[in-house]
Amino acid sequence: MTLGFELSKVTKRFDDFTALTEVSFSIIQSEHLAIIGPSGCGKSTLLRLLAGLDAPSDGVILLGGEIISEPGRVVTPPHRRQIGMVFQDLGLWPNLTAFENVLLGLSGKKMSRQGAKARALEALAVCKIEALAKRRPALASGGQQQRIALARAIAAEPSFLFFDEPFSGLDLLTKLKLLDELAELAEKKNLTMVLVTHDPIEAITLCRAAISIDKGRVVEAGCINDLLADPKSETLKVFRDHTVRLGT
Amino acid sequence: MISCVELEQPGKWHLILSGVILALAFCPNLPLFWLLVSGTSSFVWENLGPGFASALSHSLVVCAASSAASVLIGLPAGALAGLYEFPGRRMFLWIIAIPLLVPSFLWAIGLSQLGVGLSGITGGTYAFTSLGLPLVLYVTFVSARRLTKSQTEGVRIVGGEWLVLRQAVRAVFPAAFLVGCLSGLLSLSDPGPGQILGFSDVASEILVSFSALYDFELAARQCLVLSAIVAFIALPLAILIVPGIAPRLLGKDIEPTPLTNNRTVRWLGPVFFGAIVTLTMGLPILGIILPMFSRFSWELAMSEITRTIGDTVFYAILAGLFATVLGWLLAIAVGRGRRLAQTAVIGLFLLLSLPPELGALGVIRWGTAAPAALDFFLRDRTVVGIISALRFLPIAAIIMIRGVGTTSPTSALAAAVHGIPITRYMWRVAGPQMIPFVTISTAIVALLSTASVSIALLLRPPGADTLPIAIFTVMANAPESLVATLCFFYIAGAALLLAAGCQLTRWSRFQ
Ligand SMILES: Nc1ncnc2c1ncn2[C@@H]1O[C@H](COP(=O)(O)OP(=O)(O)OP(=O)(O)O)[C@@H](O)[C@H]1O
Ligand SMILES: [Mg+2]
Repeated sequence: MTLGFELSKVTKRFDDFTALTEVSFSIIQSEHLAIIGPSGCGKSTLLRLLAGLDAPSDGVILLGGEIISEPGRVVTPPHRRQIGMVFQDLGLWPNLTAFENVLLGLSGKKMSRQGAKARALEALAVCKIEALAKRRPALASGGQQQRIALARAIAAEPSFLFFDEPFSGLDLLTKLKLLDELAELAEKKNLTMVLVTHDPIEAITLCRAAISIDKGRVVEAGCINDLLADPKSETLKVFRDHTVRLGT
Repeated sequence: MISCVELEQPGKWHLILSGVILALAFCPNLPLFWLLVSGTSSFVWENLGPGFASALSHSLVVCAASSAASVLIGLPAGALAGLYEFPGRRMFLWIIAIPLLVPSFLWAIGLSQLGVGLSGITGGTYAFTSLGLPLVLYVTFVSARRLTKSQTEGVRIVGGEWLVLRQAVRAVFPAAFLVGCLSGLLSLSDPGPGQILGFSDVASEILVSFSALYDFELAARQCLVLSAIVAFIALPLAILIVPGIAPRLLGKDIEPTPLTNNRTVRWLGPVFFGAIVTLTMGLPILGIILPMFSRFSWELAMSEITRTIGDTVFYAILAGLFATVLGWLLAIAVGRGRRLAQTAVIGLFLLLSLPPELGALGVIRWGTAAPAALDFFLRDRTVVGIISALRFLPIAAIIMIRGVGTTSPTSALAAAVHGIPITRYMWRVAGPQMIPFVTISTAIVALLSTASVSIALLLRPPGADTLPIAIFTVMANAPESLVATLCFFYIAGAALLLAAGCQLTRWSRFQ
């Protein structure tokens, strides 16, 4: 059990609004984690703090035992945190083709141009979109765009992969297929996934551990099946009742 | 290395950079303000020249009347074109831009030569309405296109077509009103129509004081009084209306409401727009080219054009590019900050409404006070382009702020996660995405700065005329047919550029 990220009493304030209050939890390597909570509870904010895109107002964040964020300061910048990220709106670069998106994503790494090209093609192949290499994101379907974003995120072979509800626009079938493939991919590449979602189905399909957030506070944390057996947060309660009614 | 995150992160640099750019744009106005603060001149009516008071009253009447007319006609027309499909809609929208691209005095020349008694204040109002109306129309049109499908369809279900139109007009009114007032304020500092249609106005007074009476102090005093009046009107407008409008610049592209087919608008649209085009453009243009039919001064016109084309293009391109670069910087600085956008647009609105003579006279003052070593800049052609650029920075900045607003904030965050250096990100991603906006901004500022004669008239080095200035200065002595031919070429050139722009957008839409 290797230690990944650790958050200790992390608080984030925007002017006079407190988005996160004293959030503490750990992400253990190769144990996928779901961050569950209703809209506006602070999930994206939390992920941005983990990624180093923003600094906490209070508390510290550690990676492998070293401080990477402290109050008001990002100590280790995002690209040195061994992370890949798929954003809520994907954040694809619209003027570049799928291949160029992946390739430019590698330009922060020290590698030869040839090596980078090979790596980009491989990532597209892993995500099953070699055929779209020359297409711009706007001309790809929703599911294909997810895959382009995924290819860009995994190309640099990160240890952690952050998802900010990227699947919310997909139909159930496409979503489940993608999630299955993701689980396989994580296995193969030794990736730890952190999935932000308000949909417990996604969480159950992909993750073993979960934390549930409400109004900027961690309400419950632990193994996702245990949490569902005795839910404390509104989101999980509703979900449990729903699945009971459906008879699953 | 600066991280790409900074682009999307709040921070002091946003405020500082915006402040520096706005201050830079305000700089040319400083010397005259210094005159005011240092108290070397006294601002009593007797000190402003004998005809100033009546000139001012004429100007204010024309300003109010033309603003009102522009809003009254431009607002419904813009709303119609923004909500309904009708035959010729696209073509009308392009044609209506022509008055914005040609100097106002051409329109005045046209009206005066029609021989239908359009002169004096009535003629002035007519000429300035022809210029203000397209501005209001465009702003209304763009605002109406930013109403969403659900907004209009919700209203249509509740109350039918009439309510849709009423709600739309209500939604776009603040922007249209603001621009209507702006066009009025701009008319205050435009000397063209007054000189040609034979009524005294403030802008002409200033010009005469400076270039006929050689009294810089008098011109400066008059200009300051005009600026004070403009600021007095513009400031409350900006503070009351701009904060409601500015944040819309930052919004993402939305799916606009689809154009509706309506039986009445199908005939009303073309008739209304046909009338607008005939009255605001057809008549003046007819008046301009009439003398050309008696004699077509091809050779003389060509020699004037070849004499001036180089400098015209030089000023225009320099102004367009410099304004766009500064505007882009300002847009990056403003970023997605609502409050900052509001403040910046208030500043930009004030800058744009100030008379251009203020900055031009300011630079002249610097030119006389500065050591001769700076003459290479202060008395050179470059300064004309730079000052024009600062004058039209507001237009460029608003286009570029809108451009940055259409991009996704996560784009830069993704770059940060991948450790892409900011320069590379700008070059590969942010820059290319802004190309359409850079092109539009450069083109518009280039055309506007060519069309507005005040700055070049006061600042150009001897002999380095633009085509509009050549027309303006030969007007009094040259044969009518030569003036007519020159005007014709100018308008034809503007129309050609518009046609090219039209083709270009059509072509890029298929990309
Ligand atoms: N830059 C900011 N400035 C001010 N408030 C912010 C900022 N970013 C987020 N917030 C606020 O913090 C709260 C949490 O936002 P966040 O985006 O993290 O929610 P979320 O859980 O991701 O919601 P969703 O599921 O809708 O994406 C919201 O109330 C939001 O308004
Ligand atoms: Mg979110």
